[in-house]
Amino acid sequence: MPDIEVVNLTKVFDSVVAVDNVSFKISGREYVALLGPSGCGKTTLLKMIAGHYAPTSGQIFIDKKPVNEIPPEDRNIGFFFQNYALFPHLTVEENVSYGPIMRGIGTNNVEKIVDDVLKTVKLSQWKDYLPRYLSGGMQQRVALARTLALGSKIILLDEPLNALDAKIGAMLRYELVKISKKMGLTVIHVTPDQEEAMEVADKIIVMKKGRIVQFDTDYNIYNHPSTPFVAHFIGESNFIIAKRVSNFSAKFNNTIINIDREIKTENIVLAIRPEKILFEKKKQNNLEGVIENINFFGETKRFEINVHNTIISVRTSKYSGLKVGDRVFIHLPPEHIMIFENPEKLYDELKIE
Amino acid sequence: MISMGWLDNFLKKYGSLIMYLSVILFFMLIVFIPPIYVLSYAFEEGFVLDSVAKTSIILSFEIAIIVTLVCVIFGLPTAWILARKRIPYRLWVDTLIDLPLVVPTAVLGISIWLFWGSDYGLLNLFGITTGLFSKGPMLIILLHIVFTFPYVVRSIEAAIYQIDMAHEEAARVLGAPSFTVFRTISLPLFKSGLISGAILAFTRSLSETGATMMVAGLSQTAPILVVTYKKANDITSAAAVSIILIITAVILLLITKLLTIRVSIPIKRAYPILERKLVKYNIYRDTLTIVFIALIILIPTFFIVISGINKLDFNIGSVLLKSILISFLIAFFATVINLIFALPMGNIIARDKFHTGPIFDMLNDIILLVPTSALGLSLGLFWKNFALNEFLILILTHISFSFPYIVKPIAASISGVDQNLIEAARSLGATPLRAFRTVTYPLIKPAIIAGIIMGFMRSLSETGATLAVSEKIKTIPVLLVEIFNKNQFDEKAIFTCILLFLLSFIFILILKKTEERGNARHRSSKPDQSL
Repeated sequence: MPDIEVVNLTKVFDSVVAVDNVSFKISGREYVALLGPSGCGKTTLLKMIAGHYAPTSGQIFIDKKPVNEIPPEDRNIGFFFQNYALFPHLTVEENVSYGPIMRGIGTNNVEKIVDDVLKTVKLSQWKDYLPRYLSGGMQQRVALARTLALGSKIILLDEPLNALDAKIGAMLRYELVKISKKMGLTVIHVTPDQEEAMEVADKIIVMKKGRIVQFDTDYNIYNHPSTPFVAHFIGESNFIIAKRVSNFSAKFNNTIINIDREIKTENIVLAIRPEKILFEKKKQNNLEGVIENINFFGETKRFEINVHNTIISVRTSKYSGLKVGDRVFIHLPPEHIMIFENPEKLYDELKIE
Repeated sequence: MISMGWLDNFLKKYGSLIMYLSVILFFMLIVFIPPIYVLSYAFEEGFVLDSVAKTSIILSFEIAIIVTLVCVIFGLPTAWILARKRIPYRLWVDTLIDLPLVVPTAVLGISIWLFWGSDYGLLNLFGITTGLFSKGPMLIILLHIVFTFPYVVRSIEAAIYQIDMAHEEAARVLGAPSFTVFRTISLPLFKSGLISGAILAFTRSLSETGATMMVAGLSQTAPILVVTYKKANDITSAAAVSIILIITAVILLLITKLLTIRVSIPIKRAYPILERKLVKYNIYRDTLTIVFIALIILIPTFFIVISGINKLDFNIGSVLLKSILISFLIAFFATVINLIFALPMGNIIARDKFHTGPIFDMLNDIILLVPTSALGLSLGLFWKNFALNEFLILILTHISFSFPYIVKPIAASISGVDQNLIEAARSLGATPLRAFRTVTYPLIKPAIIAGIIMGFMRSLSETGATLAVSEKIKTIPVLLVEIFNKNQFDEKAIFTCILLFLLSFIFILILKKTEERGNARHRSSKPDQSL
């Protein structure tokens, strides 16, 4: 099983720490998304695994073997470049056959591999064209074909869908996952887009400022974020600063809010996803506010409600008749409220860069 | 007042057209036609190519071929290391390598003769008091390598910078060892830079006159022969040799431009095992390159400063002083006039005004290709038709051959300015002139400074062309060549040389600093060390 493990990996450029003491392990055949805002060190991490950058410190293991000293051409890792890096002076066919030729595979076999791979990405009839005559989506498939033709079981994808139209990107996401599952590949897929990460990946690594914030399944990342940053960056969250009243209740502007989880510190941040909030008045956990803004998303609408000068957003498909300026009650179900500590650090924590 | 309104409207409508037309007129009449005027002598009688002429033309080509080969062989690794490796004090290394570009060739000639040819040169260090090489082809080759090397390194380095490093990284992960990446990916992508560098080196070697005269001894290259014929007042023969040099230079330019498009490097043949082994020899390649740069380029260039420093005489003779003054005056006037016309000409080339961009770009290339002594002869013949004052003729001559050096960086820089920026300025209410002043000009300022310095130094150091034009007035390089060849070379002359040398050094340092500042603003990414 081709697995990837990195231990205490650090990369310093001049004096900037791009990747800061990162460790994780990815098992064979896993599709992992590496998610984080731009400039957080995702690409640097990927390029160290591929061998383009030498780590400042730390170890990389592929298949349990240390590879720090092995040059990129001997690591046998497929790498998909942001903006594709197709060789502009070579045709589609020559681009795709480059890897097999360099591996010293005989001419007949190279032809067969290239034909197969081009068939997989549906570009057989374009093999004699130079990359610049192809559309963005087609170039993306050539780059994928070139990566696959190498026959490697480990594939690193650096923002593979970044430069594409939203529709084409969404279609190719599905193709990527289908092909990699069929071929039994281990994949690390770098993306700044949380929706894309949720859709393609078995597991997600969330990075911020060179560090790993959370590494878990997509379900856990969404429902049990480890920090306010994860709760904020993946999906959307409302943050309410409150004071502890008892073990299971806190006070926000004279309103007592009951929570299913135990509160351990005096000052806390309560977080709740917009779609978990209801336009109802129940026995407890009700807040009153005024609708300030409404966005229409087709099947749902997003409401911004001003509650004592804290904006709380609510997302629902049950919105009959509400309009801006209406005074409404909202209900926060106790089982969906998350608790974070250190409200004084909240603002810094939420900053993306 | 009514007539003023009419004039206002007229200028608004045709002002820019009139400006561009006068620029084109200036370019054709002052810059372009005079250097090729000599072609008209091709059809006169007595056009016989005797054996002396044939021998010297062949010698010139042989020297140019050897020089180009050596420069490419060592220029490739040098440019590669400069562009792709992190080296300490890169600004200084870069400056040193480019230094021979601006040091007057006459000074270079003396320095190189002192190092290789004189009794106090290289062998003196080992206690032998004779020169290693006597004056002749060997010294000419050593001299030409020194001043053509920077052209080759510069144009290859610039082309390597253009390559997206992701292409090379992609080839590495696909299994190609670094030498194979270089051969199959990088080389094809910077091929055009390599070829244009080689063309520049070849034509510079083919055409250099002044310094070559110092180290040639009894052997005659074609440009020297042109000077000899001119002195003997045999204009027809001089014209004949010039024409052959000009025509071959233009044909070479066309052939190599075609070759750039045609020749491709096969990737089907990969020799992974063999090429993998080659990587181990990188250390020998680097060492050899460094030894070459030190021993062949740098030490001979600096030798005049090293050997002259202990016999300095801070008293320059009045003749030398007068020549220096003349040189600076000519360089100053020529540069100022050129700058006025080079800005709109740069715009014509970069923005393809009236669909003439590529034509004027090519015409500027041709001026660069014309051998300087032929160019000088042609300019002299042309301007003497007008019975002008000699000083004026010299300025006109210098305008002509230094113009392309000012235009080229400006045109390149203007074409790098995003057209959207100018459109943004226009839609925010700026007139075209104001948009140029407030948006384009600040962005291309480093290129303007580069152009001014290159043009100024070219004018200051050019020997061959001036030699062919001047009769009574002598610029400093011309005087140095004369003194040197008459064996009247004394401390005063050496001091003058060192002065010119230091001046060049300061200029190139300013140039590098400006460039660096320009680059820092435009380029945020920088090469990283790879495994």
